[in-house]
Amino acid sequence: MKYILLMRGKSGDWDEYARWSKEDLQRNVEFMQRFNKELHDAGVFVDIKGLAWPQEAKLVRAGKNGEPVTDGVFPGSKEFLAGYWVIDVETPEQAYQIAARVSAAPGPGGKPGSMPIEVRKVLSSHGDLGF
Amino acid sequence: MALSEQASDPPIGHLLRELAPHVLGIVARRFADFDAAEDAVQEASIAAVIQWALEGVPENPRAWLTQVALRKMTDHIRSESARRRREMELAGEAARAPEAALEAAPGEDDTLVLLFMCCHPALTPASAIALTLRAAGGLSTAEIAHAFLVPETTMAQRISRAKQTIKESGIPFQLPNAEERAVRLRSVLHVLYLIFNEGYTASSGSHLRRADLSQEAIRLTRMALRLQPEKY
Repeated sequence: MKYILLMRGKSGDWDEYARWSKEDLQRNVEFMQRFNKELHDAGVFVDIKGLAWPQEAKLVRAGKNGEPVTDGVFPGSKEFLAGYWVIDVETPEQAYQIAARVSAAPGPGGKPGSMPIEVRKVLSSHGDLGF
Repeated sequence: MALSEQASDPPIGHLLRELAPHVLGIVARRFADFDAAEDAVQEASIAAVIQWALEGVPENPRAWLTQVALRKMTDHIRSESARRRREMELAGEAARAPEAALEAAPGEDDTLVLLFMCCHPALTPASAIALTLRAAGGLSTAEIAHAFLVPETTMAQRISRAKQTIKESGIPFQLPNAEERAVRLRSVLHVLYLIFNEGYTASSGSHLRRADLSQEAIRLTRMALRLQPEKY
């Protein structure tokens, strides 16, 4: 069964991230690379995407004639998606384990970051929808 | 290549799916190295796709495929010999005494042995499914990856870990004894059922591709039934 692991942050987190030292950034990136390789080797990796800075984010709705109407987002009050992983595992517990590993990715000074990771099951069959 | 694409080219694709498990049985039995035998048969199948498409299917395709797979296996052992001397000696021993192993086979079809091995309870369901489709179903890693909507590298790792598990657990390449067989048959049927369900209940992916999974499960179940020594 597939799960998506969503990494979210408040807009302030991005500002903070931009102030990380080079060593801290490097440690974090190396952790992520190692972690992604582990997912590959374990045969559970499906997809990963990191998203661009939230300042570029737009809310889009369809206008009267279906044309895109864009609105700025409100960074102060909202959480943003930073990126996600899709994994294919056999149990929810396995997904939680993997999420906990990401959550512990090193932050400033190499301390585990303890980022909240939202774990959601990906629908895969009619059975999941109850029909 | 997606399953559905292969279905549109029945002569060689279907033939190979039928032949590959038999040939794998012969090579695995002869060299007592399932992991390498599986790779050798895959390589031979790729060679067959290319050559048969150009020159037509040979008169005895099974013999052709067996011979090429055995040659690939020998090449593999030679090339590994410097690095893995000990393993070469083991394989060499098996190769030196192939007659008994081959002669023990004629009454029974090795495909059934393969099915029992691929669906061994030591494997997790996902690993067993992947290995069954590849080794007993004769599907390529890319096809299996497409069917389960995961990257090919992920599926390749899953299959390779499944083979590793089999290697480490020392599961012998032989039919389980009569007592064990009923229990083991249940795990075979469970894996086939899961494959069928994956095709039957899926709402993601193209319909054709998923329906092919159900078809494959039915084909393998029919085969398992046909190969039962006693009526099941």
